[in-house]
Amino acid sequence: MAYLRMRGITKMYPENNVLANAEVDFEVRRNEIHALVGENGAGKSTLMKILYGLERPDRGGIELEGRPVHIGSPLEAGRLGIGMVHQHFRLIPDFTIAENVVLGVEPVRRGLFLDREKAQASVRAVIQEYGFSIDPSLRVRELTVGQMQVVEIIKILYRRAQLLILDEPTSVLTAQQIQKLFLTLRHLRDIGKTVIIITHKLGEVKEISERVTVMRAGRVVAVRDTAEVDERELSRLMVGKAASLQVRREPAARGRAVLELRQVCLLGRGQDHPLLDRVDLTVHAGELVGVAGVGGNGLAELEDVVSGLRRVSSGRILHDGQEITRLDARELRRRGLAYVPADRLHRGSSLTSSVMENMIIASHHRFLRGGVLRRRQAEGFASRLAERFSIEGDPRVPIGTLSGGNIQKVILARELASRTDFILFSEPTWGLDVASSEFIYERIMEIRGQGLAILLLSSNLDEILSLADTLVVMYRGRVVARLANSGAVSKELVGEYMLGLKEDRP
Amino acid sequence: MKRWSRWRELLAGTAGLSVTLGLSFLIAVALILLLSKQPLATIRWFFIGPFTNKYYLGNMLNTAVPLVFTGLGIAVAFKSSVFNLGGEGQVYSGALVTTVICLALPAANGYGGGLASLAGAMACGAVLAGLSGLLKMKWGTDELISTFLISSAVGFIVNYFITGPLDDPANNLLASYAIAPQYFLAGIFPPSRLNVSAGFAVLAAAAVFFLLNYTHTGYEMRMCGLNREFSRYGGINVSAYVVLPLVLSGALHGLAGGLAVLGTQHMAVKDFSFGMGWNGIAVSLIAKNNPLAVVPAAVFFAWLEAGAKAAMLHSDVTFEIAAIVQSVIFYLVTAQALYGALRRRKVRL
Amino acid sequence: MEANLKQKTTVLQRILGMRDFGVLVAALLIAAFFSIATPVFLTGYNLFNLLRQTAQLGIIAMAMTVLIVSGEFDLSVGAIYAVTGVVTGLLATKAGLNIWASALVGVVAGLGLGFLNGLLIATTRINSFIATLSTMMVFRGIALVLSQAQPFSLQLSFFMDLFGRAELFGVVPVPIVWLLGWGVALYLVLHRTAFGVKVFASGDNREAADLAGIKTMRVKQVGFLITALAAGLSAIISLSFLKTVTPTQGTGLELEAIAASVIGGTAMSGGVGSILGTFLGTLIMAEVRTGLVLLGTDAYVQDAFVGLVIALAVIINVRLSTKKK
Repeated sequence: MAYLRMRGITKMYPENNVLANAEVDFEVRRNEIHALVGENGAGKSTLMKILYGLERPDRGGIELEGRPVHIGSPLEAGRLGIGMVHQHFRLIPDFTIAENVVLGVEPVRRGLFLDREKAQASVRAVIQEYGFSIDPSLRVRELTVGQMQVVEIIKILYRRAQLLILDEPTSVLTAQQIQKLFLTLRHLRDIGKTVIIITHKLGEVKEISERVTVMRAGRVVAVRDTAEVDERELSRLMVGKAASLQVRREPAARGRAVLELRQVCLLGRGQDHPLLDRVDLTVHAGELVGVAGVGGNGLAELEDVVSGLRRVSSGRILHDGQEITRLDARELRRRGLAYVPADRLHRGSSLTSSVMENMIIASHHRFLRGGVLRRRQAEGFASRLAERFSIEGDPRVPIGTLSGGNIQKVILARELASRTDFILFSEPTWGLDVASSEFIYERIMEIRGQGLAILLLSSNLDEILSLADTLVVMYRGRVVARLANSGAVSKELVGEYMLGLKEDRP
Repeated sequence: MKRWSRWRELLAGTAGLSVTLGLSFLIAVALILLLSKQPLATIRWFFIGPFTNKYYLGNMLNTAVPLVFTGLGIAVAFKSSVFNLGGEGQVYSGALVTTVICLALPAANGYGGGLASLAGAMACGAVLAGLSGLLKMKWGTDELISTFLISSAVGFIVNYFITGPLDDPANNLLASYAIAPQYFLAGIFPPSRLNVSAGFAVLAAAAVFFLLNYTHTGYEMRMCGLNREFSRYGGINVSAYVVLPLVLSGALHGLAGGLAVLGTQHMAVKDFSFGMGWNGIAVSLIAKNNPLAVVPAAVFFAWLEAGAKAAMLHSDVTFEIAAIVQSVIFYLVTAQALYGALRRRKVRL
Repeated sequence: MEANLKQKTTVLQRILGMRDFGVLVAALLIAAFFSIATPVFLTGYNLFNLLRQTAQLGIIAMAMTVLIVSGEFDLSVGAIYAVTGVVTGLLATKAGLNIWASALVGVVAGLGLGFLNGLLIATTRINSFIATLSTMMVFRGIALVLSQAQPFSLQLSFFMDLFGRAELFGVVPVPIVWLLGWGVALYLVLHRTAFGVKVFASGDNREAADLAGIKTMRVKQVGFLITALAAGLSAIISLSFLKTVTPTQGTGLELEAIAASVIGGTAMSGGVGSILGTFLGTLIMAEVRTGLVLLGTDAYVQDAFVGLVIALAVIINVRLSTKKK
């Protein structure tokens, strides 16, 4: 009955001790469009990588049409009729569509010479067979993103794939392009192909799929016929039950507007869909604004834009009423920007440098005399901070030898040490243990009480609901909701906004 | 306890290096056994020869002087995670500029003119290397390739000047006119050619060490070298630290060439600096890019060369043994050191 | 925009491609300049001479193009060129071996070194620029040790004719025949075979190529064999024509080869390049050299000029490949 059956798949990433897949069972029927949904880190990409031969499971097996198969590489997957369209296209820009499609399985004459006519003709045949309309002699460089995606699909079909995996295929497309893609997928299903589509956009799930598998925290939590499940239920399944955190939140004493984003847009290179779409956002003194959203919906871009690491395409950013739109990270630092980044191991710290050197990155100007760094003062500063934040270890050891929680404390200590009126947090407790998380929450509440304006970006809904005064939800680069965080705001409600079921037109 | 683990770390860090150097010596011995009809004497001259008299010893140390400067130049660049493969051309053109300035000022005061000529050499090296830095900053050109190609191109041009307009028909060498004697650096270890530039080399090593470890600029340079994203996040002007390390590196290379002219050559001789740039890379890598360790590493390299010279004079092998052993060391050391570094090199700006 | 441009191109441009067309125009302009400056330039004798002198460089540069397109460099070609020459010369003179066998062993030795280059890069994944820089020194050392740093001369008439001295139909010097033959072969390999497609794919977007099932490392390793073979062939032509071998021969050859390739429009970042373009690039370098000789300048002026051309080509190439991206 089942066309594909994955059984008891378990995969642990030893680098960060994350159990990406735990005893996952996953089934797909022949000739259906099957949606695989879940939040970021739910384990859906890992599962698909295992299916496509990019990762090996620690345990578990795969059966295709009832026969157990071993998939050790994408090549083997291809031989079994499995093809995958990645989120980031793997195309060669200087090659024509035909050349890209036949790459690796080129038709040859006399065993040696590339038969361009035949390549072109056979690609054209595939294009006609599946009802696409694109000229195979065009160079990929000249195509739109939507067309590039079509090329990726043709590439798979050319290799006679029966099972197509699409990894978040809609995230780079415009609304019209999405409709076109769905037409294609339905057509492919009608002529006998099977499609797995990874997404976290529930509207799309309803629109395109017959069945849906929901994953959360590395496990499958539900498998349903799409017709029998409504989007609310899917949303609840994806986000799970609310878990209230032990944080005491005093009523906010809201002051002046400290940071303002006005109609901020960011266009991605080679993407037709804007990454940030007319974002308006205001953070007041003494206020914690929490921005929630699933990955790929603009949170990471918002982080880069506010921290000055990426320049906006249009719109304005103000600090204390002054224009800071064009300032880069260095100039923002001079104005006192404090920022705890999501990527704490690469952006937030230099792992092979000492704790002291990490602590003074933004403030080493304070330890200078005539261009000479006064080491003793800097070390004193580092020791005092380490003590105040109860960071274990000598400030002279490389920060990479500390635990994840302690590294985050060093970053927090450094950022809070700069005299400032605004601070940006991105995923401040991701991957940390409970004790470290609570320590960080306490600090955040403490500085909020001191009247700092705080912008918190997080995909952890419990965190946002427990900490934020104002809740902002982003979906496909847009702000879709702006709510005062009273007791009436439920996790389910925010989840519906996050997954694109609801939208307030601001 | 802690101290013990640091020692162990140091030991682990030097283990690979010791193997490399040991292997190089084995190859030297093997080559001698292969090529020499009196291998024992040859081996003796090769290893001990440079220490048998003041002349050899002084010249060996003098050979190390430019290697200290080029080694420092490479260390500065490596510490900032940029690469300078143009050392050859920078040394050579530095030497030319020093010669030209000295020739243009035949009657100037020795100190003033000498300083001016060295400043010119440094500026020349700095501009050549800095150009690659600018190309990288503006257009993302791989500085590995551009430093090499620009330096090689410059080599041709320097050749032209040495053998053309500056050629002294009176000497039978492919070399320029000699500079005026007031520019000669004072010898400090007669009868050898060792001169005060050896002192400059030690001072330069100390200065670079201080710069990297105790100054604001050095801190920012090292931070950019270790993690460019983190540095940008922390508010450091990271694009400047693509250019500045190359400028410094080029200046040190230029100075190596300039001092070689004032101290040893007293004229610009065609191809005299061949190998100084490349060996600087090996010296810096042996020293693990530590400026203070560059000095002994340079002496070690000079020892190989001096040993081969002594073996050639007193026994029956050719000088090429040194070249081969050096090239083997170069290969092994670069392979070992860059194994990780160049693979990780996908740093965005 | 590109589509518009395409419609306006001439037949010739379509045959050559935009880049190659530009190089051809440059080559013709330089030729025109020297023809006016010195009447001797545009004589049949001189043109053959020009091509003959450019044969060794052209053979190596075209092979280098294949390698650069695949995303790698080989700085050791000059040293391999020397080793091939020295091994062949040694066997033919000191060991008294038949010249054919000697040449064969020499070329195979060179191929072995090329294989070593590829193996090193495949196993250590060091940047090929650095890796071949150090093998360049090692290989050069091998040439010096084998020859005891002495040049030697050969006297072997028929063989020499075949590779160096003879003239096809009494007019075309054989090195030109070898150059053209090698060029056509490489043209077919790079632009007409499935392997060629893999070369371009490996240099343009390695990840995509890997995912398409191309063994990109294998492709690059073959590239190193091709440059080594080119160095070997050039060395044989050189020793046949000059009747001498020196262990220092070919110093700087790698540089000129890269320059010719870059002038011919090969992108230093890989994925773009053509054999015809490189052939024209080699021609430009040869034109400049010969033209300067005919104008009566000495060798070092020519070198300096070549140096300038290289520096310029680097900068222009950088501009072009940035615009592309």
